[in-house]
Amino acid sequence: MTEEAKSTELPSELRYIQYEHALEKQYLPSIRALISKDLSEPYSIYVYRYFLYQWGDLCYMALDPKTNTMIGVVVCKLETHQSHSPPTLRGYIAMLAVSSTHRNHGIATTLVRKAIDAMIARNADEVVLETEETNIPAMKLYERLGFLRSKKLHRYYLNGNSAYRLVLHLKRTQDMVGDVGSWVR
Amino acid sequence: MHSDGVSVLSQQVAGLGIDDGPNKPSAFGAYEQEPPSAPKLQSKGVIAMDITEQFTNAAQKLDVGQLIKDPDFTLFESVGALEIMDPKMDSGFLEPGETMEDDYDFSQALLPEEIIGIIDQLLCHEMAWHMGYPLSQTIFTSLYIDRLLMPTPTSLEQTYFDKGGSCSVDEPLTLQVLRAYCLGLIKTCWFVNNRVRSEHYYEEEDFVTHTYNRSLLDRLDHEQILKLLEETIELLSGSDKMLPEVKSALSCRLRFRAKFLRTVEMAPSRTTPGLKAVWNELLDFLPELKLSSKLGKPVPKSFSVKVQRKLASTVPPRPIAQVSQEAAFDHLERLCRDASVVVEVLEYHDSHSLFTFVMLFQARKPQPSVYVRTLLQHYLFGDMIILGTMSIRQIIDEDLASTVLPANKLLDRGNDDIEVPTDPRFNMASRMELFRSRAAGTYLDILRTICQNRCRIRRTLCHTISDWDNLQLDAEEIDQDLRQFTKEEPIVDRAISSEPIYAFPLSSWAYFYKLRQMEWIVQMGFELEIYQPDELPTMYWYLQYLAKTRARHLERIRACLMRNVSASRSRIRTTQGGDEYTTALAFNNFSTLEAAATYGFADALSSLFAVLARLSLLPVLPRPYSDAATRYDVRMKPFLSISLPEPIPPAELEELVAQPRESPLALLSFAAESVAAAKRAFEILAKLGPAEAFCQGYHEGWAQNVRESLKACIFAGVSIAAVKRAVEATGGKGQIRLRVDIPKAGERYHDWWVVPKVVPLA
Repeated sequence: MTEEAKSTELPSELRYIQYEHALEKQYLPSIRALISKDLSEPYSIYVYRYFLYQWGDLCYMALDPKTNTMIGVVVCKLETHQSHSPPTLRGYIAMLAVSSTHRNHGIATTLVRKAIDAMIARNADEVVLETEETNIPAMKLYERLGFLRSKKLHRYYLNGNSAYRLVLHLKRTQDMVGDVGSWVR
Repeated sequence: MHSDGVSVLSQQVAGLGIDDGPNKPSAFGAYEQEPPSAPKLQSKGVIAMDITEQFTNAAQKLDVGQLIKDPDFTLFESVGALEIMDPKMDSGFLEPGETMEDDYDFSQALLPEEIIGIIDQLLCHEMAWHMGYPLSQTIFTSLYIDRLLMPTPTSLEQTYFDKGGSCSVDEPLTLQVLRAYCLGLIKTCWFVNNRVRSEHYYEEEDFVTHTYNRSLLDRLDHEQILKLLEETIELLSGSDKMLPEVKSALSCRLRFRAKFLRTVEMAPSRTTPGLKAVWNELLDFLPELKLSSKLGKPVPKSFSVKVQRKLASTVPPRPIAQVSQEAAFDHLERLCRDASVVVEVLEYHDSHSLFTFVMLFQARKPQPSVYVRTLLQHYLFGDMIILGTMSIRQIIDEDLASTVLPANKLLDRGNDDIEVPTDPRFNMASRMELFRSRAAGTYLDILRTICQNRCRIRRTLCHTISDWDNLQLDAEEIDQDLRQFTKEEPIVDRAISSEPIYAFPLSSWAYFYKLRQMEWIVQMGFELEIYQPDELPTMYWYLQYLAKTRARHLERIRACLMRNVSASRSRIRTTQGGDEYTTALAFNNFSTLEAAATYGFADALSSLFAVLARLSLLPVLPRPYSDAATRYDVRMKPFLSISLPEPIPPAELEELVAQPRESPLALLSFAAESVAAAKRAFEILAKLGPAEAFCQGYHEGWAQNVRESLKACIFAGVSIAAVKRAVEATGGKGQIRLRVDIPKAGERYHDWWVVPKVVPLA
């Protein structure tokens, strides 16, 4: 958080909207710009479309109501996960970004909550993500919502930093079904 | 990063526009009219045909952004996708006026000081590679190295930098020094790379062995290179054209390189005596290297980020790794020191000491580097011969004897010679062989696991404890089966149980190791900062629960050992049998004491944190999306599938941890007693000799570990007393005037013991 950031006035009421494919032309360029600012290596357009085309409804954007400028975005996916244990319907928060001048106003928290709520509505069993060990604000945000660190991942990022895997169970383990269940039918 | 605001962003957005009109230039616009002809494929059964038109037609039926995806095409693969003409993704993209290759004159003479500068920069790159950066961002960015490796030389004659002139006569001495050094460097990397690659490690996470299709001089023999280094040292000593200190700095670098190359060539040998001395001799070069480094003059132009474009890699050039000279020397120094210690593992004492050695060596801070860790793995397991001299059976049998089966007929080698199927000894031999084949891999996996990076150790243990759970169950069957041949007499003691008690030696052994690993999982959780402050009461409670379970299990093993004294009397009378018995009892005593120190300290911290939580002195998070039960499932996941010890249900666990019926003062008194008991146990441990503490070969490191635990324990006593005083001061009324700081890993006396710092507030 910079000094400059604190001085920025937050628009009184941000507009939060759910993404859909029809909005691609209007918003994808700003989504990409916002997210790639925090990345050392850019994602190709394909990565964005991988998420947005398949799980557009799990993407939320925060916009300035007057200028329609993009201030924040969260990008997710939700699918059946199968590895060592019984399958679960696992949500994954892939990208979260808020413009540096608008941080510390709870925008990221609101975006993440909207995404989790959408996942709950789709019968998700759990939500996971990775975050850089040095990204204390991100870790605090998720831990305040109820996530726990489940493991540490050594040198997970290209810059050599390690990560934590954060996990949130939305149900007791025995109640997890591993698919969308009645939501589809 | 932080300075750009929305205005900068909007400019960037403009560059990312998505066009969807049909006016886009055709796919092969760059080729003017005709697309290039189809590649000529020479493969049986493959007929190449041009599908450009079909593809273009099909693509035009899609919306912009519409995705046609194979269900098996994963996120991982999509992240690998590249965008052509994006400078950050397209390795062939050139800025206007930029050239593909560097324009560097290899025939130019260099000052001797510049040679020092280049050599020292190469050492920074070499150490950066050891730290985990790829060759492409380190050593391979040197234009001289590139010149040596491309095209691949098959003889020393092909390694001259100046490929023009009639090389051998024309080569200036300075360039010969640099060339000899570079050849030695690359060959050193070849040995290191081969070592790392043959062991268990994680590519990119631990180390990058990728050579981008370049050969690290596999076709040149290291003896040839050593000879060139020696000749160059000789030639240099006869030169009178340099300042003496510069000459000696260059000579030192050449001798250092020759020594390093010889060392990594010898290091994998498990039978060469004096390896420790070899590493120490390498270390002896460091003071002079450091001191003369200031004579060097950097030649930044001889390194280029662009070399990466010529490498077999899909990623565009990444920045050159920056590791300072000081950090490079530090890393090299640690590498030599760690390597000189790790060779001591080859001197085998007993199986428990071996485990202690590996566990504590790996816990050194900072953790020994990947090369040293792979050397350790090689010493331990190379060619399936433990430490180069022992069979896997030898080490397992010794471990069984010193834990549960001292002087026992089940481990009698003579049983193997019996060929009569009805003979009990024949059957014991075959059942034990069955058990060994079942247990060997799982047992050795513990050692292999603790050779990994700290994060991986914990992650892997979380998975492998279920193997131990299964092994314990299988061993139970073998134990029962064996009874018909051993004619084991059970302990019948109505005071303990109405059922007869059998020893179950094999499953007891498996249970012991399973409990140890469960404790390590929790302890490494503290070290890796997995737990949030308000989880600490529960996690220390769980640690004491595991350690107490181990202590009780050791008590049971001990009872069976004592019981067996009469049954094995004749064996115990032999010298070997007697020694085995003494060792097993000594190990039982030692592990019991160690468990007591652990559960005492863990009990104390659990109670202390429970009080702090009750007094609202630990941060409480709102956590709208989880509750105690769902968090319990996440936290206890590795343990929930384990049959023994049984998981404790969440509500019960919460009550056991919080102890709501006890007053804060009662809990603090209990914490004070527990911590005092733990302190006594650590003090006794600190006085044990190498044999009694089962840390032969690593006693110094072990003793330091105990001292650090003891310090943490004393500090905990101080914190408990401070909280107690503050609680007493309020007389149960009003707000407690305290601030609680939870020290981070690295800032504690011992990373496994999170002792809060309690500061009274005015």
